[in-house]
Amino acid sequence: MFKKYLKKLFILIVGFLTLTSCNGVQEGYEGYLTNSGKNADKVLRTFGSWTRTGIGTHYHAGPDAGPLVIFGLEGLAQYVRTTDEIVMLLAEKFEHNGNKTTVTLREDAYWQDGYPVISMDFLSYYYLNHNETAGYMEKIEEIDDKHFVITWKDFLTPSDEAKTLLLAQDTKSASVPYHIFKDFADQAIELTNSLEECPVTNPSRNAMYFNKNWNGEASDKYGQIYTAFRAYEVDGTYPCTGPYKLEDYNETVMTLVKNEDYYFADTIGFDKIEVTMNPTESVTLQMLSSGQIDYMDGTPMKSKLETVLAQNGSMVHYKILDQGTIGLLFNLEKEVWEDDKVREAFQYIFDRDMIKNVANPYAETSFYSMSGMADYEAEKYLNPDDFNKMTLYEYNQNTASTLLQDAGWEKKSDGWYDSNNEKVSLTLGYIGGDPHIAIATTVQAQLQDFGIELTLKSTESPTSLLANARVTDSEYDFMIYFTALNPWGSHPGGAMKHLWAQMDAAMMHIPTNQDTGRYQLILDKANGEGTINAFDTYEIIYTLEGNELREATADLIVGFSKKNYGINFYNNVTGSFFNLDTVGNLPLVDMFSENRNITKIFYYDDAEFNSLANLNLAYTQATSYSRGIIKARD
Amino acid sequence: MEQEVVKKKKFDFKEFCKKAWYFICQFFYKNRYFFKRLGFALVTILFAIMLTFLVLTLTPNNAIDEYAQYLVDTRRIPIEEARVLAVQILGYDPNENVFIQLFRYIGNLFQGNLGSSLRFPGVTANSVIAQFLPYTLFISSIALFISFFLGIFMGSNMVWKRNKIKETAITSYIVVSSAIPDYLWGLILLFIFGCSLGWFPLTGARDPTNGLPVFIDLLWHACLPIISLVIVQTASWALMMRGSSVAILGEDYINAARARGLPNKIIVKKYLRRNALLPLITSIAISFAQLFGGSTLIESIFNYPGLGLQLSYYIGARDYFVVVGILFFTSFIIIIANLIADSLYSIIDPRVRRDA
Repeated sequence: MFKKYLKKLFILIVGFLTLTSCNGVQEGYEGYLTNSGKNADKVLRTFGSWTRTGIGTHYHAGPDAGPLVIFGLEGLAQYVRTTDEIVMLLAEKFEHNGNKTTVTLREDAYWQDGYPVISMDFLSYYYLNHNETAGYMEKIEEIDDKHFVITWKDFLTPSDEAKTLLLAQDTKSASVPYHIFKDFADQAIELTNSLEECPVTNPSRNAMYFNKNWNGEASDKYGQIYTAFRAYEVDGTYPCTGPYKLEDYNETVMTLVKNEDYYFADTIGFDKIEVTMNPTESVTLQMLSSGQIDYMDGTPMKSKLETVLAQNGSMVHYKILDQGTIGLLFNLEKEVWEDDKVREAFQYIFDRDMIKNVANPYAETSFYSMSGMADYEAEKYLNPDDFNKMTLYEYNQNTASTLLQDAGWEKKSDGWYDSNNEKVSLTLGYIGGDPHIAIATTVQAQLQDFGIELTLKSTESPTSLLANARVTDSEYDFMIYFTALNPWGSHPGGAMKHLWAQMDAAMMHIPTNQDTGRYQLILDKANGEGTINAFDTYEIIYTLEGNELREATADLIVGFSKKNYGINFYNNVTGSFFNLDTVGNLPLVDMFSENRNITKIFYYDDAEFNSLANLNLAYTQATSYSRGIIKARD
Repeated sequence: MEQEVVKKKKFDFKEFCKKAWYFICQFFYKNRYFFKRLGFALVTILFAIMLTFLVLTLTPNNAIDEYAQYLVDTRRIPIEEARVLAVQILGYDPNENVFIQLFRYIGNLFQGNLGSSLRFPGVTANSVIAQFLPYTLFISSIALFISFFLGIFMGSNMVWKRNKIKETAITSYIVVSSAIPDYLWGLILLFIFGCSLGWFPLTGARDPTNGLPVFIDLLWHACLPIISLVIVQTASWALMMRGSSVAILGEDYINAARARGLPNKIIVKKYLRRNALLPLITSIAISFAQLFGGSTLIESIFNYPGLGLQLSYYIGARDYFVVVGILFFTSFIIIIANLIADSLYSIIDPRVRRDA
């Protein structure tokens, strides 16, 4: 009797699980333009993360306010990642004239505590935050409350396009209201003005903020002022000027409401934004599947993505280029990479299509060596002749074997031996998460198949990968990471910044000058006439324009590619999920009415390219929401 | 006669000292078991601090790296420059001798400061514990309470009703529930009751927007984490209770009770369960102490803001002093609970004390 009962119970549970897990199939969504939606309250439910111990009282306090930073804070202007669009926000206009830029602020812009936005707010920001843009500046002067003039360094004046881009890249420059931080701002301005000009002989002159001589003592004083500013507790409203205000938050939920006093208040797309603290990946997917979330960025592994779309018939997923390329970066400190032929041989070993299909089948395979720029970006910025000088490496293990033999390697019964007759055994460092695990295991399988032993070393985050890779005698022979990335608009300066100033060059141990500590890499020019110092060229890239910019970019990209310092696997695509029941004004209606998994990738020349870039919160911050590009479907 | 009285009243300091010394020696001798345990506990705490501190500080990637990466992302400055700036802003030198850092840390401990955050001004291990421990204790203590009582009920019933369907059912439950880890139960429960049926929230500890009274909201959010913990913990309590009950079952007083024709319910409740419970009392003290560390995986799956989840966050951020502070706190509680459990055991069973 009891056994029968158990059997019935078991069948019931299995049946229930089967039904609940297969309650839909991946298909299209109809009636988006003709029927009404299900979001009369105009609420957007999404994920985010902030510091659970508390978000602090202002942006520079240390803790992360997450969604409040994205939806509540803004700058003079906002660039849209991947496109060249600049959205003017607190600045009404930028007027460039030689090495001067006059900024005119909006008359109707206010801090959320009621104070008007004034010029001194931006002087406070730049003098207190030594950032990239301040490195190009000579000084900033206030004309009146709504006008200020930026004087750029005469020897490093960015092009007009780059001036606007650099200012727009400071997406949170309205975060230091002068009426609150006057004391700290005045101290920072006074300190800067009291310093001597940076000597012409200083090798780091280009990077010196406001062209001053930031010696040890000056830097220490700056550090003290910044530390005190950081620790200051604002009494009252979190300083913001943006389209949304903080209503409430706790350790797992944050609620933002529309700022009725915002200058674009009429076009704000949602009245309320409810943010859930980022859960684990499995719960994230479950929340998407059960319709509890309206929007999320990212492209999970194919099977997971398809499951979400199958379980939730209202969910659509767009694919968007992220100007990033995933591949292998060689640790040039290792003896194994000293021989050009070995580096070239490795370009032929891998079946890149297979790696791409395992990791991200929606992406585009790259058959080039590491160049520091995504292929389609290089294609856009380089003259076709120069672009074609980069070598395409098809999968060919025979060519790889021949090249290795030329380098003195020998294949024996138990694998490859190098020119010192030592068995080749390599170590690969990677970040332990999707899709890097899949790439690492596929690379391991392909190398072992070729006859090279590979040990995998997983690490928890990009920072850990960098920390482990950059130390002298790192255990990594090579690493899986972005071989190119440009999250700062589509100017080549962005991609070069990632390569030279951020993680890649440091992880790869690109040779440095013993005396100055600066990178010392000489590359052949793309036209074959002479050489360039790569780091010197990178440092002035924002000052170039027109043909000069194209040529310098070609020198950097083609020259680096010829070195074979790394291997591209694929040009990555990211994406965004949207709930079609609740979010309106979304593009590609024809496509998602047939299939909600939109797999088509749009490139720069496509008409839809810009509208797709506007979908991603990381690409536009809150501007798509404040301008009504994305709004509630009521 | 009068002289004798005077003599008696005169205070003999030497005699007093002798007696006091005798009393102290006797006190320590009688309680030598306890003091030995206390000594062990103190040494263990010291080792716990040293080990966690050294392991964390000697691992590549430190708080400076983490903060420098933040500066790189937000200011778009080179990583090397960001590192210099990070050292200035955080006021922490990762190249400082690790033992000097450790001694300074221990000095702060004596002032009651468990550790200040390197990354966030004003945040300390004390404030993190005060903010997040209540959440952890809320789910863990309820889970412990329920699983303990369910476990002893199941364990004693298994022994009493051998070879019956009830025993088979409970044994099957124990096998299944203990074979699957609690976080997997969490995922299964989330999928069925959170995602498919939508009866419970998938994440968090409270949501002010749902309009529920605070305590009801807290309970509603805590249900699934508690059930996940209960499913697994009940099995271990049931097994312990079963083992203890089997030993009791052959005792004379059980047979006597049976011979007296007492109803089974009374025998189980008053004779079997009560006596079998004794060894479990000490275990529950230790289990209770372990709650203070939180269940990182369960908290992570349910995005429940407990101490375990917070600990993993600060480990990721390499915020050493907060991590060591939290670990010190949890180790301290566990060690003290062990000490109490040992002491209780020695009171219940004097042979332990004598052997020591």
